[in-house]
Amino acid sequence: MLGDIGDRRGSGISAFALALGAAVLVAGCQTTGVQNVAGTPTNYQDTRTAGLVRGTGIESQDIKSMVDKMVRHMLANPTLAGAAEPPRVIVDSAYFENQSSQRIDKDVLTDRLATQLQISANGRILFVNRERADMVEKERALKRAGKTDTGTVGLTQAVAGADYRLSGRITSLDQRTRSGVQQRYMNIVFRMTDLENGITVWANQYDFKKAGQDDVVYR
Amino acid sequence: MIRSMTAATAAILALGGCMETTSQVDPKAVQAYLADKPAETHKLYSKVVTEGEGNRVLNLMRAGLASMELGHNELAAKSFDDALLTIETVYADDERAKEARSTFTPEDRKVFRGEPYERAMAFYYRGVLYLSEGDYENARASFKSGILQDSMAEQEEFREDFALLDFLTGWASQCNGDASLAAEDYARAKQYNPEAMIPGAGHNLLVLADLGYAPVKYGDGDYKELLKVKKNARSYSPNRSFGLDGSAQSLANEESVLRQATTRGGREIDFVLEGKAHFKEGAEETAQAGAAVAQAGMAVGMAGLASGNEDMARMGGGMAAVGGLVSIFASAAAEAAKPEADTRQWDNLPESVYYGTYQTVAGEGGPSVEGLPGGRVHLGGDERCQVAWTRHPTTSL
Repeated sequence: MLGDIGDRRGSGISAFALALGAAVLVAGCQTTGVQNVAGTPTNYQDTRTAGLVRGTGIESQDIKSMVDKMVRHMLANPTLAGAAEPPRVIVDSAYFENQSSQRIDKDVLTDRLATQLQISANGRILFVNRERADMVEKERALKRAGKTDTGTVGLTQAVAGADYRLSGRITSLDQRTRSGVQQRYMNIVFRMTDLENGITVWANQYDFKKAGQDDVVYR
Repeated sequence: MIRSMTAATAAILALGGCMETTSQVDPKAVQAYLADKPAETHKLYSKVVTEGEGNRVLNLMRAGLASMELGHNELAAKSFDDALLTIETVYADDERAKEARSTFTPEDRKVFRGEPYERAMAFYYRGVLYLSEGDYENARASFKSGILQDSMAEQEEFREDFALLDFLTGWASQCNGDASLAAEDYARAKQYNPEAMIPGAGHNLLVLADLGYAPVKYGDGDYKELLKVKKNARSYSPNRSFGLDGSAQSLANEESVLRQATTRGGREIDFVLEGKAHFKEGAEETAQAGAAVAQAGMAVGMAGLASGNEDMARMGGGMAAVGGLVSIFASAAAEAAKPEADTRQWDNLPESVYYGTYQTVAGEGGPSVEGLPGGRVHLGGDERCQVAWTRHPTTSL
């Protein structure tokens, strides 16, 4: 009798124990070791908003906002956009210095600025391409050597001289606390300088501050 | 019996379902990834693909440094850029980080981003590569970012004390023609290391020698829950002498990577790991107590059986069953708890960086730098500044 009870109880306990064991094992294996097995297909992201990967530096939305602000302000400047004869300007990264703690290809910024400005100025400002001066020189040499004809606009005495040139500076103030909070203030200053008398005829700046904190496992 | 079988089957099925999914990487994908990389680096770069996202930064940093040693600077730069993208991203609301906080998941489940000294060194190498290209603005940005990684030390005296990076920030500014910025950076380097050098007038060559074996991470504490770093057991005697354009020179300055690695102090994650260790310890004690109750129950049951006291036998059996179950599940919980600290490490880092600046009248082939350990000296820079870099012992490929 006692043996029967013991047997039944024993098998019941065994079953219970095994079932509980199974439950614990199931609970204990919540991870598969592979994240997002199916992956994420490439998709277009809105360049005006923060993307999937976020840091504390300059991102696409900053560049768009910054350039839009600079172009609007530059075109409202009478010296640059209101002259009877369109002034000639050079907009490239040659005199644009990065003093910040963010590694950056400055051309991303100045290329967009130059292009957006040229589109919006619509002839009110003329753009001199100094970055590709060698390209111009080569073609001029071919024309003058008689290897090509003179094109449709004819020859000029010299290449175009510029009236104004863009310069600027990117600076940052960085803070990082022991608790993993990282904060970055960035200031980007733009200046347009008269290449004859050195006077700055236009200036503006764009700044922002971003902060974030890593998950505790990274602190 | 049938119920036992069913339960056993459930347990086996549960075990089967619990098997870790191994990420199988298509060999063609590995081949495609390696196609544009030099053959001698394939072993290291294949791990970038096969070991997955969790170890991607670690493998990129190892392979990037090895590529730099071999003179494949473009590949090294790409590798460090890729690694730094992850290092610089703010990891909040991250699934793997959330898992790593769980009692039953080890810390090394998280995406490896390195400890501050490793992150700082990744920026250091990217900066040196920029110096080699003559891109002094981005070199300066890299060194500055490296300094920021060193701001998480427990004791204030050890925060942002990476004098080498301050010095290099100044050097990059000097090469870029920013004298006032350079002076500020050199002053900061001197603040952390009074013996830190200020380049002499006319110095246009920076020599960097990364020597010795990487610091070693290990888990300390009863459950290896405390991350500690120690000197590598392999001994190394650095040689700081070399010849420059025919004259004898010495690398006067040293930045100890080992010191940077060992002076950080505790981490915030240590509190999480400590909690996991307490859980494990508690579960183990509960398992022991359960086992003791089960043993006592068995004794009571046996005594009941021997004396013909049925109630006593039942009570003893019940005690044994409950104690046994408690012991089994507490043991399972203790076994499942993972308090171990993440000891994955960038193992081809040097123990120290030795450095100095000099004046050279570089001819067409650049300065003649001879006799540095490792034999292979990598030269770069432009007409403003030159940089010579070497690493010894080199990474085993």
